[in-house]
Amino acid sequence: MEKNTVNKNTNDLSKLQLKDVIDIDVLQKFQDNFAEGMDLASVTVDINGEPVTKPSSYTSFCIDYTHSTKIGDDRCAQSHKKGGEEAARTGRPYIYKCHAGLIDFAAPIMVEGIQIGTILGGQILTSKPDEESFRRTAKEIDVNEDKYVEAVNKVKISTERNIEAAAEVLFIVANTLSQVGYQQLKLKTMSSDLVENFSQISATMEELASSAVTITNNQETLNKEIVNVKNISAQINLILDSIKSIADETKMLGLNAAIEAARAGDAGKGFGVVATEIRTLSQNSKETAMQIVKLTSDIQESVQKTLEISDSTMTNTEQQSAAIEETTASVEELLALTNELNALANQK
Amino acid sequence: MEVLLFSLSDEKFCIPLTFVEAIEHTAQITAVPKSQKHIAGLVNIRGNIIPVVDMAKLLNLDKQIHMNKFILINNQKQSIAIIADDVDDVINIDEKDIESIVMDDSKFSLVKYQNIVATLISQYELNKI
Repeated sequence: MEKNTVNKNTNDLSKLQLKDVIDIDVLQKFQDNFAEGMDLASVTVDINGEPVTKPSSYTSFCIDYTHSTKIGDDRCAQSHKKGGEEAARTGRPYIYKCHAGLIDFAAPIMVEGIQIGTILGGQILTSKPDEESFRRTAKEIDVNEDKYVEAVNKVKISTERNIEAAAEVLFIVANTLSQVGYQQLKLKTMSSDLVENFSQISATMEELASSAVTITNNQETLNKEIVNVKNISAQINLILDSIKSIADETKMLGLNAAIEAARAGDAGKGFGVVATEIRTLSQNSKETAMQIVKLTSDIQESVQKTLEISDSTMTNTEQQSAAIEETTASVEELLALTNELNALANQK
Repeated sequence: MEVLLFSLSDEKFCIPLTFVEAIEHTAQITAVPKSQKHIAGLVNIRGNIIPVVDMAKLLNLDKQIHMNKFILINNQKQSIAIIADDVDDVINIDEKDIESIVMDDSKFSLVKYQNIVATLISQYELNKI
């Protein structure tokens, strides 16, 4: 995922690549025009020495001859590498003589003190070429001596001052471009982090909102159940009223039985005992019924309290829902802003 | 002696079982015009027309009664129903639990049973009806 690579690259500067911070097309155009304008060669390489742009205004001497053999090509690579290393060490453009005898320069491209590439250039002379030494080189790298000498005589002769100025310009421009590019990269990372964070917040808000709905639904179910309990309690009380009136009837029956027993005199004594038992039974029934009445009254009280608490919870949940709505609106605004920011950061 | 313990408002009374016939639920009382104050009216109980006596008025009790039960009593002359708020129990009392009190020109008998004091309705009171 591109996003993750961007994060990794900015966090670990050593993994930062030149093409991450500079638009290669823009660099190429600049390089080409500059090389033509100043009449010197130029190319941009990464920290491994691999070219990231196409070479601009390379001399025939270099392309057609020096680079044409393996030995020559390897020597060029070596020479470039050394030049780049020296430039990196000083952090400033470095002007030197290449293995073939031309004047080259290396300008380091730095970001936050770390080198991410080098602009190489030059391929000019500061004085007329010494034919002898060039013939020697031609033999060493195995190219045609005469053609080699012919080519070197076509190489432009310039002053040291010119070369210094050219190297300086390339150095300033490349580093400015990469600095700006790096800032933009950091901005991209931050804004995409923001987008991700806000998306997460949005998702969490949705979850919260839906859980609030669940709570409300549960509350309503709870309220229904509480009403149910109240109804059942009322029914129980009705039944208890029946039991009480049965107990009263039984007592009356018992008393009447006692009266009859008294009237029967001695014959009624046994019956009198039964009558007493009946009265005791009715008294116990009544007492038990009273206990149940007390219990259902306690249940009603407890249920009423539960109802009050659940009402208060409902109020809280409603407030919560309102707060969630407000927060969601704010988050959506922020998300819109962040998306705008992200779009800006990704502009070319 | 066995007595029936009953309540009129918060006052307790007792009447010897020998006078008591039965305990009944209350029924519609038909008022009798120009009758004495303590006669509440007439009632039909199991086909018999019986006068209803308001004991509270008879004993000059200034209390509100609720008329929950009728106690059918027989004072040898006739059956009458007396109104009671609540019929409590049948209890056995000793002669020594009865105290006679004279106030003004009225004679009362009080019965002590456990921690209850009840006015005894004896033949004397019944004769007044």
